[in-house]
Amino acid sequence: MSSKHPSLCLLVEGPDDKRLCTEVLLPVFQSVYVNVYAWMYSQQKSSLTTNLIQSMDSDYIVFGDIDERPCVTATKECLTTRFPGLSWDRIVAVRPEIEAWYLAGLSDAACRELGLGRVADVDSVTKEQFDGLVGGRRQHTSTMVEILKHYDVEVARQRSPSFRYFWQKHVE
Amino acid sequence: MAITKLTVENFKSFDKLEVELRPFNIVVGSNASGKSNFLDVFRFLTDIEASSLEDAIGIRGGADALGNINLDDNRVLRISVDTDDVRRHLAHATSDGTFGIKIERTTYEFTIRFDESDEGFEVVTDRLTEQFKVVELDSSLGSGSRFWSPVFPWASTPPAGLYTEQRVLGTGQRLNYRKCDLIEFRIKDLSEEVRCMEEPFSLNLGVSFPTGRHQVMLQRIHRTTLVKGAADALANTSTYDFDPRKAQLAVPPSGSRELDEDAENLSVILREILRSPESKKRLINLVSVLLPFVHDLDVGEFGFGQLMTTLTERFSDKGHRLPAYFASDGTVACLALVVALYFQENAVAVFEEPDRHIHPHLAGQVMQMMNEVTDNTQVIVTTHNPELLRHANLEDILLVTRDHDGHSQVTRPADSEVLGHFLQNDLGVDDLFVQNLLAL
Repeated sequence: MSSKHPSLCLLVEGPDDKRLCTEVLLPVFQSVYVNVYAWMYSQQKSSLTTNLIQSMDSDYIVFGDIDERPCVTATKECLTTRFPGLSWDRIVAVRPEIEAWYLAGLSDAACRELGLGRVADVDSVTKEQFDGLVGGRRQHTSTMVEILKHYDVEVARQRSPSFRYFWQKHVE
Repeated sequence: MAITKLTVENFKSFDKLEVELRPFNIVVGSNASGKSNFLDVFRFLTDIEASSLEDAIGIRGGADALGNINLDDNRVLRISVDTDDVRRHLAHATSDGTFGIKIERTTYEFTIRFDESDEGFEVVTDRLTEQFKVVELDSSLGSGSRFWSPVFPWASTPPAGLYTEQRVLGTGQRLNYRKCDLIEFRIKDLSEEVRCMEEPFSLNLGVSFPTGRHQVMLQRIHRTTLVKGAADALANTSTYDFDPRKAQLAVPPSGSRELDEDAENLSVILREILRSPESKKRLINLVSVLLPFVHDLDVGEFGFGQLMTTLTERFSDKGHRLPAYFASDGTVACLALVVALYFQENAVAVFEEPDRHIHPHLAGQVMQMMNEVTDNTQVIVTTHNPELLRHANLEDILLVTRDHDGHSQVTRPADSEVLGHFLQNDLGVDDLFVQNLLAL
């Protein structure tokens, strides 16, 4: 009989967040959980996601972009208002958007190989800045896929404080 | 370049239609509401541009099948297209400076009247209106420099090259219009500052050319450098209604470099894309987002040099290449969609239910992909899929319905206050669509 926990749900905003979770985080959690799956909530009705959360006990992590909000607390308040019953401790704030976490996992060598300029402060990179960096919106998805082929979690932990905080709290 | 507005009168199920288009347009409506007729306006215009008005009418079953059968026989058919392409033409150079006209908006329209002649119609009006600014130019280079070219090589016209706009002198309109068997031109509504400029200015702005009773200037054969705008947008408009069964088959290696409407020549197009390692990497990255099990793509030669797409799945240790014939309809539809969106140079891409064979969980990704190409390509898509709508911006949705007389009409649900009230209460656009309440 397996000693693993039965299942973990990663609640993410949209397809870009789901892709990073599936490629980078899911293999990590699979050593602890029998089933790990992602649920995209941004376009779902709140009641559906609330029902999912209530059926999961505490085996879930909700990822939410800080976006324009002033702080992590504001992001958590926004999510707990939208999804009543959501545990404050299970929320991970992504600063400022998932694009920053993509860039955070690129080493200098990987940046060179992909032809991307190195961004010193990834925690300030917005979606629009990411698109500018990769050569336009049309390159958005294909570049993200390419980044994941070169993704280094250790580098991401060093470069993104919000990724590091998530890692320390939910993985280590 | 995009079509910003479409106006139609007496076309198939439409009586009068006036709709503003955005970079991304999702067309929904009940069965038989007129969605296909709406898309056929684009096909009709594209057919005229590529061939002739006579052919475009002929392939639709003749003039009798084109007008709205519930309207008076003597009503004209009218179509008007607004485009937003910016064109920069050098006008003339004098001791006062170098001047150009910057066209920022184009409206092309024609009307035809159905009659008892052999052709079944005659062209009544055929008109191109271009709104322009007259600007003074400087040949010194700067960050705002753009390429300007002359319309006509008159002696007073400065050479093509990079120029920087210094100031706007005034505005005006250039009108090309049908008069008997000629397309003539005139400049109108010139602002005062421009009107007093030297004579060569207006000389350099247009010419007259002959036309025929059943011809419009949109037709490629009659198009001059002046009649661009709408024509360029329509020349680069592609309509797609994928048929995966056809795209799965082997095809002859020759033919168009443009993806067929039904994607039958998908293998030919893929072969071109796969020649470049960079394009191949990008293609496989994009395809893997929709089809994570696809590891590699190739185009193989089968009997008599026929081409067929093959794919290698991640599950295959031995790297078996699976012919497209054995791939699922959804797999082939995803391939065709990625090719049409990212590897075809369309100004406008029109899709009929592209999600027909695609699993609902990919709806969000499909919408994101369609959205991310809209900087270069205007996308118009029809769907019956509520999942697709759930990931849509309400502002992008166009609803086709029938009015009390049975005529099709196109409205934008985002304009409805009632709908906004529903949406604030955790009801989704998809819920309202399924309940047929988007028209509220």
